[in-house]
Amino acid sequence: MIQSLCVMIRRPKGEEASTLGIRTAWAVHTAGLEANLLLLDDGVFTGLDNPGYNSSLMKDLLKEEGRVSCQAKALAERGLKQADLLEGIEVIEDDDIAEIIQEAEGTLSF
Amino acid sequence: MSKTLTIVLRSGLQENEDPLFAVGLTRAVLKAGHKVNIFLFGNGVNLANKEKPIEGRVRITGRLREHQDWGRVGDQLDELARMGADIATCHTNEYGRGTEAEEYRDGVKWGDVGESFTRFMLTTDVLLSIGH
Repeated sequence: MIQSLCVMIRRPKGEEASTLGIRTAWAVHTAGLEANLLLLDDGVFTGLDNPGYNSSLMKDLLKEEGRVSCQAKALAERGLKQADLLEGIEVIEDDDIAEIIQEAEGTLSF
Repeated sequence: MSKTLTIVLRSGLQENEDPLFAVGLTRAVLKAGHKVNIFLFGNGVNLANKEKPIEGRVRITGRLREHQDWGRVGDQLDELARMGADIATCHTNEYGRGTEAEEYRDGVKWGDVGESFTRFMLTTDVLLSIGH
């Protein structure tokens, strides 16, 4: 049984993979299992307050105490700051990302 | 001791070899005495439906048809289901592709990420994502 899942999103809004990642994290979280959503590489754009479904569902996830983290390095490389992200998204370093992946019982990449 | 592998397959027919790999891996794992769940997600839902027979002449050359047939794995999904694989699809992704009302293959069940995938997680030992 997998009770904790790390969901990595590496693609931006506009690519289906980003939506699939958010939906998976939401489904796992609302099922009462642990979900850690990681925004990596171009996936950091998914953490912006964009109009549309992705941001709307991510806001719901954050409101329901879902954990969403963003890769600091990828954010800086794209000229973005924590203030650009939805409120509640944690900006973390690569060492922290490795720890989250290591602690999860399963990992999916989108 | 038997274990359960869950594959999240995000590639569909023809676009790459992911479905072929997933089918081969599933067959090998089942033959080794383990269990396999497959969740068709994203373009993976293109594998979910029964094919419609072509009426009349097939306007494809022999060698091209052979090439195309190589990437069609639907019959193998049915075979894997008969061997015990549990295969579910994401109806929302089908809706987005206009195929939700199509008839499913014998080996594929209606599903969604909130019910089918999370149900799979409850019995999963190993989780594998296959897709581009």
